[in-house]
Amino acid sequence: MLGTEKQPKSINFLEAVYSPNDIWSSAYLWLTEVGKYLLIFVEVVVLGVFFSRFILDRQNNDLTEQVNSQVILLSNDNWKKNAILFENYQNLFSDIRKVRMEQNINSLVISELISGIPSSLNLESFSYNGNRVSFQISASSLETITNYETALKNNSDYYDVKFSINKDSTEINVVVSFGLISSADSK
Amino acid sequence: MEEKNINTVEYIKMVKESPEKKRSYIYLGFTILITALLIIFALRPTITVITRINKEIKEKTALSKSLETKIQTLSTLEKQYADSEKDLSNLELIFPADGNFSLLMSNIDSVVSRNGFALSSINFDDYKGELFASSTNVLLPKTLRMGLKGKEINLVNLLRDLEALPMYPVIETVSYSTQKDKEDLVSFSISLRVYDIENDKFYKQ
Repeated sequence: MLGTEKQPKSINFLEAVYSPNDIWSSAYLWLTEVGKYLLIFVEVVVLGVFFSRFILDRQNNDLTEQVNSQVILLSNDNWKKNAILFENYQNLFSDIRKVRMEQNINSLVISELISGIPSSLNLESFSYNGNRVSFQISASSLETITNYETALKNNSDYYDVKFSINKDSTEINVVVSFGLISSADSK
Repeated sequence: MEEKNINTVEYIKMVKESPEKKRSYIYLGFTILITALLIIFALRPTITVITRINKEIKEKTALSKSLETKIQTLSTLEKQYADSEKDLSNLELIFPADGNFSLLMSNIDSVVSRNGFALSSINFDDYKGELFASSTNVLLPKTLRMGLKGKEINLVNLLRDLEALPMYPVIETVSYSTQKDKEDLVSFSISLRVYDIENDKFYKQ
């Protein structure tokens, strides 16, 4: 009975010359046509990576050894102490520079204040407290005091100028106080 | 004629829904699946490893360079320190770390007597003023108060000389009354801002 069935007499050009119908044959066909190239590509990449790891690992290990030896060298007690000492000096130099550059020279301010008092006025007492000045003066004429008051009030370096005048039988006593605008404030 | 028509429709159907077309779809889908699996399980881990090692190498190179720079800097500083150790030891006297203001005291004494003043009292205190605005790391301000007797005319010179000392002191307050004592001298009260270091191991590590 086998092979005796009557086959349809037709030529089907749409059918492939060889087209496997079972799954294993299809898988074999796929593996030989596409899969092998995929596997070759992956193997090439993996092998490339595998060999490059030799180089990279060696480089990495060398660097680790180098870093470890540097750390051991720096962990030495003498080096540690020196590092702290030099850092201290560096901070100190930076502070000295700051102090030298930033702080005001107040002796100049005091000199200007004292020399600014007119000779016709007698200085009785003087007090300078950083940004505030007060002093007591005496004079025989009110005009001198008024002129001095005007001069102080017109000076842009001073603020809150206060004059307290007491007149005695012979002389006039004045308590003067004002604030100083420091160079830092004026900036 | 009828038979011919049926065949044409069947052929079109065969072209549209042919098992070959279905198979090629499966073929393509399977290829994409395998490619994705290879990318996920074979390529990705190896590329990740390489990236990780490269990153480690970069980090270690940077670390090694910075350590090398530190070693070189320390070596250079050691040489410089050895060359100027004598000069640097003077800093300990100028900005004391143990509260020993002996150099400042002796300098003040000489400045005061040079300007014709006599020192009647001197004391140190914590700084409570508002004039110090610098953000220093190690130098801390202290207040030095002095009671002096002398002539008013010499005051400005005395203040200038005091501020010219190597400790960079600053006049914080000055007060005096022009009333003179029996010796024809005026009493002055001056306070200075001086600096010290509050770490007694600062110079001796």
